[in-house]
Amino acid sequence: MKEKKSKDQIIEELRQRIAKLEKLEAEHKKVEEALKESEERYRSIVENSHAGILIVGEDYKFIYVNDELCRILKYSREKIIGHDFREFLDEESKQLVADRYIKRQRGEKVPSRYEFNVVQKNGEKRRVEISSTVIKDSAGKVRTVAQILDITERKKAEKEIKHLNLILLAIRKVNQLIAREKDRDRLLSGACDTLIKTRGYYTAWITIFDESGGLVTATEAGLGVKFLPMIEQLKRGELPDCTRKALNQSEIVVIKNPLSICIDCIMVENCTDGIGTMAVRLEYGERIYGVLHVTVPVGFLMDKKEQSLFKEVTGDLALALYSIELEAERKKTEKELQESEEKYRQLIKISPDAVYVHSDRKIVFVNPAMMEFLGAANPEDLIGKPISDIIHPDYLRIVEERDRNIEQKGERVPLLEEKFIRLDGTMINGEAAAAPLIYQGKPAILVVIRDITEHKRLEQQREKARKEAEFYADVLGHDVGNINQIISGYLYLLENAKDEETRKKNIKGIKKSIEKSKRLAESIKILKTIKDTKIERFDLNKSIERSIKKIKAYFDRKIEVKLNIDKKYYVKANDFLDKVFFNIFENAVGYTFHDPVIIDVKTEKKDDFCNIYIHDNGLGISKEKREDIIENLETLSKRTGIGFYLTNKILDRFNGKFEIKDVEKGTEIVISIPVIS
Amino acid sequence: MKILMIDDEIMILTLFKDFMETFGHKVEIAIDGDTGLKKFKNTNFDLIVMDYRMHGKNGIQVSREMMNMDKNVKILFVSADSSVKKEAIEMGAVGFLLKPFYIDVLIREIERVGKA
Repeated sequence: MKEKKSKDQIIEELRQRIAKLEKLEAEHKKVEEALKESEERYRSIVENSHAGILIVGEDYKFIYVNDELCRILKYSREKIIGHDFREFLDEESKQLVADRYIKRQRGEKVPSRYEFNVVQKNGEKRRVEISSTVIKDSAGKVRTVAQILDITERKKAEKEIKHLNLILLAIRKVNQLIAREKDRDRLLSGACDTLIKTRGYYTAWITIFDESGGLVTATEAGLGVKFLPMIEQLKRGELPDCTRKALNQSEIVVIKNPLSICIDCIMVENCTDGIGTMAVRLEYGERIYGVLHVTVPVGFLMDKKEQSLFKEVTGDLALALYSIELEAERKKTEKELQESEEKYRQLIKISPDAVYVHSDRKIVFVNPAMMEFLGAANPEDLIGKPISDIIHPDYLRIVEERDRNIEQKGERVPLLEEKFIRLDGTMINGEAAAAPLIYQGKPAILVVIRDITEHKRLEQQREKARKEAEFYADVLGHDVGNINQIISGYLYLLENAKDEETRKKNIKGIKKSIEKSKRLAESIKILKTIKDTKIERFDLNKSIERSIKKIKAYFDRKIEVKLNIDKKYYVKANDFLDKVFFNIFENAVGYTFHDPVIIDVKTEKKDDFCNIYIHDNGLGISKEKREDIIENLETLSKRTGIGFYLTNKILDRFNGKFEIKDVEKGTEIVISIPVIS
Repeated sequence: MKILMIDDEIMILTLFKDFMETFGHKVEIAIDGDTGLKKFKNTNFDLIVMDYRMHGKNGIQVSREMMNMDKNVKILFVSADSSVKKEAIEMGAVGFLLKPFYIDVLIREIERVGKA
């Protein structure tokens, strides 16, 4: 059972309730203030947001937009609020955004963040990114709340970065191509392909010209057969305006609208709206190789970075062309050098002239003729030897002086007749010319020697022939002159002879002179034929006997010959040996002015020779005359008559010799002839 | 006259010696220059008949040595070589006979020189 409340109790209850209400009111007020504060804060955030914020109702119409969205759309708030959001979208975006708007309102799952294009008041399209959600207002109506960011610039920057990355990739690929490709045509073709594949150029073509402007090569990518007419045109020397212009300037030639500018160009058929062209010359240093052309989206045309990198690519290509050209030149030079070197190597190898190279005074190279010249079996016999080993000491000083001249002036030196030392120690004559040379990277001296042994021999032969001719002329002039003089003398005396005895005496003198003349003619004949005569077993003793008999018959003098022949000798000789003895006996008698003329003849065997000693008691031969006779036997330089010369020639044929002995009285001649056992 | 004949041909020497002596000249002979110079040093000759081409010294060389010893020496040159004549005359030879010559020409030349 309920107890009835007292008035006080009720009052108390009311008082408590009031207090409670007051407390609630205070709390509510506090909440209200907090809410107000919160709303203010969010409003401020929304109003000052860098993102465009909007609320769209269920009828596509804007309920709320912040200032930023107005800035993005470039419309005032009044022109936006209450308008269908699709009015501010481009055609492409309208369907997309509306579709998602509807689906989102239905609670279907759609991406909350995506991109589309808005159209500003001025008609410019801006790319925006939207992040949206749906809420219900206090009345339970669905509201779409979204935040929009203008990402046009960011997208442009991203595109630029992407584009620049592509450019860098293209440069890297072109550079990789440059690094590995050493063939000009493949390089250019590869570069065009790379530029198209990597850069987004529509086409690329490169023309290369020679220094006189003639087409060297042309290559393309993206054009195919459409490029053929251009090649024909270029071959004819007809250059498109852009090419000509690019060749004449280092800056890039940019044509934004080829369709209206390049109307005469056959390449214009390959262009469409929105495609421009760039052309720049490929140059390195002062060398201009040609032009790189590309067709490119107009949007890229005026981009400085694009142009700069386009130029960088052409610079790299030009450098590569220069390197290839340089390499080709180097290879060509190297090949020419190799060919030349090989040619000279072969020439030197087959050269009849001896060739050697010395460096630091040591032999470093010899050719086969040099080996033969010095009697070496192998190059190693000479290589490494100091040049003083092969040059005669008499010539070493002058050779060293010549070498110093070569080293200091770098000039070759003329021929010098030198003597060289062969490996067997014998001397050999050579005419040497020398010139500076780099051999195996070191300064060296090339020496070419002509073996003049044969030349010397021929020269000696010529000299000998000349002297022989002089000798014969002298014999004719002197000996024949003397004979004629004697005959002339006897003739005069004969003409004036008063008695028979005188007449006979002079006639005998004339006959003797004629006989002398006859023997002179015989002697000359023997000199010319002796070398071809046969050597036989010849009776020496009989030859001496025959000669004594003849000399006694020839001279009307008292001649005593004392024979001291030790035995019978057979020698290697022939009939001309009689002539030798007769000549010696004739001289013995002729140069003995008194009678009797005493001639001692003695034989003696020594080794394989028989020595025949013939001594007379005549005038003798002075030392000077002896020396002249001996000298004349070889050189014919002295006028000593034909007698001894003939004697020497005959004995020479028999491998024998003669000697004029130095004796106190008279003359002693010793003849040596090989004997036959 | 006292004559020295120098020639390397013994037959010429003996023939000419005999011949000149028949004309009253006293003749000595020498087979070469050195022999001739020896005789020249020891004897005063009125005339030297000098051949040019001889063994050892030639006639010009021998003549110069003689002229050095006696500048008044008279030398008559005989040679089969006509090219020697100019040198011989320039050197101071009194005459030059070109071989072969008739032997009487020598006598006339000797007489001419003797009168000079």
